[in-house]
Parts: sequence; structure tokens; C-alpha cells
Amino acid sequence: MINIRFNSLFLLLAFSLFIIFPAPSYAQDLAEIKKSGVLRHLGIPYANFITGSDDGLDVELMKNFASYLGIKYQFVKSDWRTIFGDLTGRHARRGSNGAELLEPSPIIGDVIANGMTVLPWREQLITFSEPTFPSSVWLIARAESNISPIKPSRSLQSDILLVKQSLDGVSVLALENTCLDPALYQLSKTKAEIRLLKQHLKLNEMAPAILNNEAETTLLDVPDALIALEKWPGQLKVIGPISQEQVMGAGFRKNSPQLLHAFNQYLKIIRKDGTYNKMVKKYYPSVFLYYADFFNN
Amino acid sequence: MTTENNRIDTAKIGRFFPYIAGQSLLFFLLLIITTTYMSQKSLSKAQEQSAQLNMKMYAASASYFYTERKNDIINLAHSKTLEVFFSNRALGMSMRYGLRASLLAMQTEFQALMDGKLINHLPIYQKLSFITNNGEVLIETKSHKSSNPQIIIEKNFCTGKHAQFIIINNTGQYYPSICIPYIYKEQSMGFIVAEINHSNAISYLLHPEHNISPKYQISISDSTQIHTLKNTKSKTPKLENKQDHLLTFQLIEEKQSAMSTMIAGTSLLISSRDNYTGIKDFLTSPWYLFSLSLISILVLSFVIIGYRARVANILLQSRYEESRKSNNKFRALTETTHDFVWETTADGIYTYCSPQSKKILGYEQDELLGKSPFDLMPEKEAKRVKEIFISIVKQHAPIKVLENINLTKDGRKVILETSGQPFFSSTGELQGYRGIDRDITQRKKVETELKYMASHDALTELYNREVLDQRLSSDINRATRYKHPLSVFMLDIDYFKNINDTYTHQAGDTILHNFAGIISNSIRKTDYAARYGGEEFVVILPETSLGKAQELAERLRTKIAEYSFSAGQGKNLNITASIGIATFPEHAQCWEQLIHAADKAMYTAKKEGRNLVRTI
Repeated sequence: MINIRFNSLFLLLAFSLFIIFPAPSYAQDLAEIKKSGVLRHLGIPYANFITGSDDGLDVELMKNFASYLGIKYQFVKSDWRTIFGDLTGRHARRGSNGAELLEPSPIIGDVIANGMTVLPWREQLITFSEPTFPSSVWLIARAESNISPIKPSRSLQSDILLVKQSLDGVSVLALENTCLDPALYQLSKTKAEIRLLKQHLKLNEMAPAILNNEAETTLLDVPDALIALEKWPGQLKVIGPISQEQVMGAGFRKNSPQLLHAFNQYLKIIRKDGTYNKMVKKYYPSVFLYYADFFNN
Repeated sequence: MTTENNRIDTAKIGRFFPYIAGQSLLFFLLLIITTTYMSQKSLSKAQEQSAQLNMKMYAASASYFYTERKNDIINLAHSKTLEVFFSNRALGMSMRYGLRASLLAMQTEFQALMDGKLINHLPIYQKLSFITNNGEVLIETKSHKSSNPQIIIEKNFCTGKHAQFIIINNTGQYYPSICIPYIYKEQSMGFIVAEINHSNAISYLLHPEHNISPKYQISISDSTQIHTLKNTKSKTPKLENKQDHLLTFQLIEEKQSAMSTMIAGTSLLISSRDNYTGIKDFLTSPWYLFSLSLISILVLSFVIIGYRARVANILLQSRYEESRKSNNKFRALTETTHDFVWETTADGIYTYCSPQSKKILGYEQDELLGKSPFDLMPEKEAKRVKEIFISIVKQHAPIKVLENINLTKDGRKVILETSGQPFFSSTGELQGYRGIDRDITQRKKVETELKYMASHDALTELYNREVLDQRLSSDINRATRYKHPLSVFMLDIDYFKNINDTYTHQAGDTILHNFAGIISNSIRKTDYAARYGGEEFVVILPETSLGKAQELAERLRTKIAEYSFSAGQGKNLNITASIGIATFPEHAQCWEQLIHAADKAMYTAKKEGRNLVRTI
């Protein structure tokens, strides 16, 4: 049940934008995309999924997918505030009870792929492909922090509890509307001091932010944490898990089932022939050690 | 004269050559042995110097090699991945949450070093490990075969802060390794141990380009033990089949080294010593001298033999020339004589025939070569002559006037008189016969005729009186010895004077001839007749009694009486004869008495009317 709030001003604005930037009728599903001859990849530079230097795991994945479809590839840079509107024609954000639709937006892309974690509220807005990458969220601290890494127990749930118990009075950096949204992990129920990342900052900047003393700890998904540990050796430490196991996937408009199906088919092929694991190894060589089951399957 | 001189010269040279050659040989051998000995000494020295130089080069190469390996490990120890891991571990991170990634990065770096360092496309490192101070193997790369299964940390395993060359002894197996302690924030975290693929390294370093003389065996030892490198010959190690040609370490007892030097930066000692256990360098071994001497002796022996053969050949040629000239003379002689000159083997096979063979036997010379004289004879004659020839050959005797009958090519009989002399080889073996065949056919014919004329009456062709006397005397002797009777007829033609007078003497001679013919045809084969004189004839009948003689005489008388004799001019007439018989021993004891008795009996028959047979 989506709780949608409308006010007259917002509706007027949305209507105006709709008139000014009408959603292109041709960019709906596979047939229209093939007809247009270009696959528009929406992405936000993040970790090694999209490095910002025209490469990254998801950039390579979508380039190959476009090639598989026999059309050209086009990268369309987006950000966490507009990325759903760029895909669906309607901005949205996480509300208190799920997704919250916002003003209309021109559709400028056909697929989101940038290590996007599959979360329930997002699934209300878009359809995710088969999982492309495993993930979970860790709590990362500066090396000199008093908070100590937990000693792993036999259960993930216990480990999460241990981490949360250690947050008493500890500042935690988080980012709303992303997989690092504190509300997703009920951090408000802990005694942690939640500090939301300034809106102009990006996920990639969480680790530098705590090194910059903006908070003592931060939430980081595993792929990003691995990159951060390599990038700032000895300056960061992993305290422990904050979330259950998660997965990432490519996001599609709900009215693009054929494109979704085509991608799932393509993903199935490259996972079977080993191409996908080679791509992953190129950008996340150590992830196989943590998620051997995911990639072996 | 010139040939004779040459023969003398070559014989002299042949006699003195062995002495000259012997002295030359001795001198030559001494020269060879001396020069070879000196060369061997020089070569040995050069080899030793070369071996020393090569060994130093090898030691320098090996030292450089091990220094590079130390640098590899030092660089590894300074890599960021190790720092990340140990810093993360120091921060208390757990393997499950974060630390494992650092460890994997470290493992990846170790493996990259191992995979990236190659020598001749073969890995330099057998295995790379990180071992903590308490012996826990934190990282271990995928190892190749024969790597150290487990490194046991002992006291003083690796001291100091620098990379060290060590040889790890693990249950009798030796693993040359480079070890470096890892220090993080001034605390020892453990050791990086790099086990070197020594076999590959040594294979490369011992490439023939760097190889020491095969006379010297290379060994590498540490302070107390020697690890011998097998197969250090010049054969190129086939590195692509490295397992077959790995130069493995093998512990042997230490022996005194001729030359040795340290491989700088390691505890290894490279040694090169004379290979007493293997086959020595042939060129510097006594076998070379021995072989050289042996070959020299053989060569000079061949030279002497060859020279002697040449001398013998000259002598042989000289003899041949003489023989050829002699043969020419001989042939000239044989071709001018009328006799058939020949030469045969000891088996009687013609090997030479003079041209007279054509004239005497009708055969060309070549037709007779390969044949024997017996092939030209009638069968019986051949058998007879062959037996004589075999007997002569056995005695190695000359053939002396052997008469034999031969058939000419056109089947005509010729009588040859053969004479010959045996000839022998230098060893006294009979080689054959040389001789002549003289055609005596005509002579034999004349001889036969003369003989006949001497014993026969020319008109009647009966024995003459001389033969009669000889034969009768002989037959009387035989009859006396065997006590046989012997009878004699004395025949006389009746009224023969009238015939002569009537029909001329020529007719009388014809009648006498025919009369003799009747006698010859009427008597037995054992009997014989003779003309006793004028118209008187005698018939001798050996082993015939008086009775039988009377019967035969009567039959003869009748036959004569019935015979119509030609008297010439177409006229015929009948004549008769009176026959007197005398028998031995009844009428006489000797041949003269017997003739006389028969004669008396014949006159009796004349007296009693002629054409009668009477006995005394």
C-alpha cells in the first residue's frame, strides 16, 4: 500500500514537468529499445560497479548486454535522488511505509545498474533482475576508534546484535534512500548517534568522511568496504555486520518485462559460461572468498 | 741384364728395409709419445684453467641468481598487501569480517611472484610460504612437485632481519630456500620462505655455454654435506622434459675437491674435481697415448707390408717377363717341329697344345685345351693307356715312348709315340707333364710289312721255312712238355714241272698261290702252313694224333683234287698232291726228324702212284 501524498502545488508542478518533458513513448520495452538502437544505462558512480572512468563491473555488464541485443550502449549518469525518476518517469523515495512517489520526471534511461541493493521499497518502484551480486552492510570504523571488531559467533544474527550493542554513544554515518539507509536496519533503536551524509556527498565518500572525522563509524556495503580497506590500509577497521545477507540486481521499469526477460536470459548465459565471474574477478577479486556460494552457483 | 740388376737391387732393399723401417718406427713412436705427452700436459692444464674459470663464472651466475631471489623476497616483504593484512589483523579484524580479503590479497601477491618468475619458461620457485612464529602456515602457494611438504621451524631457523639463503633438511630431503623474517611495527610476524626450484636453476646455469669441462665433475655443497649434480656432461638438458633431466641433489660422502669456491651470498660451495669415477677425458688419458701408439704401429706395419708386397711384385714381374720370353722361345720351337708338343695337368688335361695338333689329330689347339689325350683314343686303348699313365704319375716318372692309338677328328686311326717329362711346383708338388706326340703310323705300317715279308713266302703268303723251323721247334717243345701229339703234313704237287712247262711259270706261280689258299682255308685255326720249297708245303697240326691227321689229310687231298685251278688264258685244270704224314712222338723225337719222316711218307705216296696220303 503506497501512501501517496499529493498537494495541489506538487501536482501542478508535476503536470507542468510532464508537459515540458514528456516521457518518450518509444523507450518502453525491448522492441522500442531495439528500434531506437541504443540501450541507455542509468548509473551512479559507486565502488567498482561504476568507477566514473568509463569502466566498472556494471558498465562492462551493460555494454556486453547491449552488444548481446545488437544495439549501441549509452551511459547516462544519475544520482540517488533522481535515479528512479530517470528510469520510470516519476521520482520517488523511501517513505515511512515503503516507496513514496514524487514529481514526474523525464525517462532518460532503460536500466539501472550500479550495485543497487534489492530492497523492498525499491521493488515497489522497479523490477529487479536475477541477483547480480551479493552484499550485506558492515559497520566500519576509523582505526583509532575505541570500538573494537566483534569476535564472530556462529550466527549472523548474533553478530549483528553484537555490533548494534557496541554502538552505544557511537556516531554512525548513513545515507538515506540507499542501502545504507539507517532506517533499513533499525539503527534508531540503538543508542547510536546517526549522522546522515550530506546530500551532496555520495556513497563513495562514506569512508573518506569518517577518516575526515565526520563520524566515528559508517555503514558500508561489503563491496565498497573491501575497496575502502584496500584504499586506506590500516586506517579503517571492520567492526562487524549490520545487515542480513542482501543481493544486488539491475533495475527495470515495471512496464519493460521483455527487456527484463532478455537481461535475465543474458545473465544466465554469462554466468553459465564463466564470463560473468571473470568480470567480477576483474573488479572484486576478493569477493569470491566471502561469497563463494553465490558465484559458484 | 737390366732385369737381373733390378732383381738384385730390390732383393737388397727388401733385405734391409725391415731394419730401416724398425728404426724409423721406433723413432716415430718415441716422437709421437713425447709430443702427445707434452700436449696432454698442456691440455690438462688448459682444461684445469678452463674449469676454474668456468667454475668461477658459474659461481658468479649462481650468486647473481640467488641475489635476485633475495631481492624478490625482500620486495615481497615490502609489498603493501602484507602491510594491509597485518595492520588489519592488528586492529582486531576478524577473518570473517574483512581480514580474509587482506589475506587473499596477500596470497594473490605470493602466487603472482611464484607464477611470474620463470627461468627458461620453468618456475624459479617451488613454493612460497608465510609462516608465523609459532609455525602456523599463513600462506602457501600452490607448490610444484618435490617441494618441501612441511617446514618445521627450528631454533635459529632464520635469524636477523635480512634475507638469508638456507638449506632446509626435512627428513633427508634438502630444500634450498630463501628466508626473510617479516617485521611489522618492529615486531616479528613470521617468515617468508621461498623454496627455490633448484633443479631448474642449475639446469639453466649448467647450460653447455657455461659448462665446465666434462673431465671435471661439479658438486655443490653446504658447510657439511655435498649435493652432487648428476649429468654434468655436455649434453644439453632438455628443459621441456624437465622431470627426466632434473639435476637432483644427491647426498654423497664428501671428497677432497681439486678446486672449489663459494657461491657468494649463500652457504653453498661449488666444487670441481677430477672425475675419477667416470671415463676420463680421452684426449688426456693414457689410453689416448696407447691408442696412438697402436695406430702408429699398425700404420707402419701396413707400410712395411705394402713395400714388401711391392718388392715381391717387382720380382714377380721380372720372373714373368723372363718366363714370357722363355715361352716365346719354346713356342717358336714347338711350332717348327713336326711333333705335337703339349702340356697337361697331373690329371692329364691339356693346358697347352702346339699347332701340330691340327696336322696330326685334325684338332685345332683350342679344341684340345680342357680335353685329355684319353678322349682321343678308342675306348679300349684309352683304358689301357690311362692305366699306364696313372701308374707313371704315381711314380712321378717320365713317359718313355708310349705308343698309343688315337682317332683323328675325322675318325682315322693314328699311332702316336708319346714321350714326356713331369714338372713340379716350387714345393715339389707334381704340376703336370710336358712332352711330345710323334706320329708313327707310317713307320709302324712299314715295320709290319717288313716283319710280314721276313716271315712269309712272298708268292703263297704262307710262312717261310725259317718261321716254320722256329715254330715247329717251339711246338715240339710244348708237345713234349705237355705230352701232346703233333702231326705234320708234307704236301707236294704232283707233276708240277709239267705244269710249268705247259702253262708257263706265271701260271705255275698262280697255281702255287691258289694251292696255298686251299691249304690255308682247309686247315683248322690252330694249324698253320708253310712253303717248304718249290711246290712242297708243310702243314703243322699241334695236338693232333696220327689218326686225326690221316683224316684231315685225306679231306685236304680230296679238296685239292676236286679244285679247278686257273692256268691263265681261260684255261682250268685239276691237279693233285701227294701228302706224307708224320706224328710226334710216334715217328720222330725232334722237329727235324719229324719233317724228315713226313717227307719220306710223301715220297712213299709219290711212289705208290701220287694223289695219296701215306704214313711211314
